[in-house]
Amino acid sequence: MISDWFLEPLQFSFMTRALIGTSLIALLSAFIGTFVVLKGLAFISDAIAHTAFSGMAVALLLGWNLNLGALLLGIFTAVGVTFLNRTAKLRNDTALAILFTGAFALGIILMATMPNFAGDLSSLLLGSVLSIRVQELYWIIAAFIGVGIMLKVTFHHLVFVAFDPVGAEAAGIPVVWLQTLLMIMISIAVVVSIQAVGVVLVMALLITPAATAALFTRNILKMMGLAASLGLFASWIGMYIAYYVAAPPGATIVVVATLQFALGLVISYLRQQQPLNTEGRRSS
Amino acid sequence: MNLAVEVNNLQVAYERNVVLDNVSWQVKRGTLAGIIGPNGGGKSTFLKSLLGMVPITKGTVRVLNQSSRLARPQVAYLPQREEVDWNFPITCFDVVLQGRLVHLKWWQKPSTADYEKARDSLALVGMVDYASRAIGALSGGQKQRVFIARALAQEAKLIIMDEPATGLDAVAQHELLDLFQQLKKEGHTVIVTTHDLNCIAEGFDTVLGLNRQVILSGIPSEVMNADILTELFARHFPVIKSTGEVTVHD
Repeated sequence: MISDWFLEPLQFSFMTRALIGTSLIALLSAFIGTFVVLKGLAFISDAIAHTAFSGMAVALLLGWNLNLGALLLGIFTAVGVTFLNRTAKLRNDTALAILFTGAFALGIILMATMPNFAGDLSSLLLGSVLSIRVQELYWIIAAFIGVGIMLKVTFHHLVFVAFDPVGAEAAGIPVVWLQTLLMIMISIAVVVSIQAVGVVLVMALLITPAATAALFTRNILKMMGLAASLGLFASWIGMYIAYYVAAPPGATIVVVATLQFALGLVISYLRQQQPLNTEGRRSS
Repeated sequence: MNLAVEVNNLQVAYERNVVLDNVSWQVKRGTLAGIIGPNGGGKSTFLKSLLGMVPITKGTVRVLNQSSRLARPQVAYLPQREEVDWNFPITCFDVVLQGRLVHLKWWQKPSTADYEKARDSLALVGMVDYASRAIGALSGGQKQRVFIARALAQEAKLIIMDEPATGLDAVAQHELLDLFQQLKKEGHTVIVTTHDLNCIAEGFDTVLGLNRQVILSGIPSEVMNADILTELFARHFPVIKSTGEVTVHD
């Protein structure tokens, strides 16, 4: 029975925690990912994910909470990049790539030298959503609420800055402050997403659902809503497939999201082949 | 005197290169003012200095009788086309509503009155039917009208536009000039950079010719003559020597 198929995994508390965790992460990633996709911040987000990993290694060394370490180094990278972009006014892809891969490599060495942790390295790199504990779930809920409030409160101003940064600055909108806030929100989304899918795949949750949504709408709120639905769908389907075929859940979620994107590409291509609308352009 | 802009001996340098030097200019409130000059002559930099967005190495800039930074909420700037992300998924109405954000703190949301003001502003430029259209889908002239509506929603006293007529067809350029006249009648001061010398001669109250320094300044019909325009645009005239060598006069 389908209901049995659906209910069976929920008997296990680790699956329930994993589903709640990935659902919240998928929603958070979709909202923030919309800005990442629209403003082409994927590379910077990847850098944040890699330095956040080093932050975890340092936190482990100092006996801190892993999330705290990841968040601090992630935010440091995000704010540093915003500042560099503004003051140096140069394309710093190369410098950033050298810096974040270097920091990432250092993080791997640090982790490997810690005998108690070396075995869990792959869980950080590839995600370990099935081992989410209640305490980690609290972190995810706090991140979800915190970023949700920040985004709701600053939404109109963030959109102004993203659409027309020069006009916004000329009108006295605190552009640097808002750009920094966006980078902090990206850092938070990245750090909590690492729990679900790991450092290597974190970009997929952030970008793929938002990019798929962008194929279908020209309205930012609809894009966020669609990205959130797609992210949720990918998370649940991915978790269930992973449960029944004993596949790694993080990777399965990412594969489902990628298939969604591929399907989205095909559908949007077919829609473009339809006869022209002579009544005027669609507003969505 | 009640001035919209008062610039004295302005000097601006980028990386030790002086791009504007010894520029002085005054614009009365309620004036339609044009800025002309060759590419690279410092027009855009001059506009940014009025907005307090470039560091000044010498001189003073006063906007609406205060520092340019303090005047910002009363000044609307319409950037050059390439400075705006036209692919951003945003409707015309939401662009106009941005004009209201200038008067709100970053944590405040637009009120019903702000929404009404945005709708009225869109109506004033004849674009209310396009409210729910994506801005990126409009023509160049329509985009300019929406941005002017944003300036109206902002209740800006001074509206500064960088090359608004570039890329527009002749009809759209004339409509834009009519809109400038309408803004002027309503008491706004409008400052525009442009390459269209005819447009300046026909419809503007004052003109500033910039090529690193002030080359001409005053009422267009009095100051714009062939000799001075040649001097202003000199470095853009190619010189072909008898040997066939082509150089650009600088």
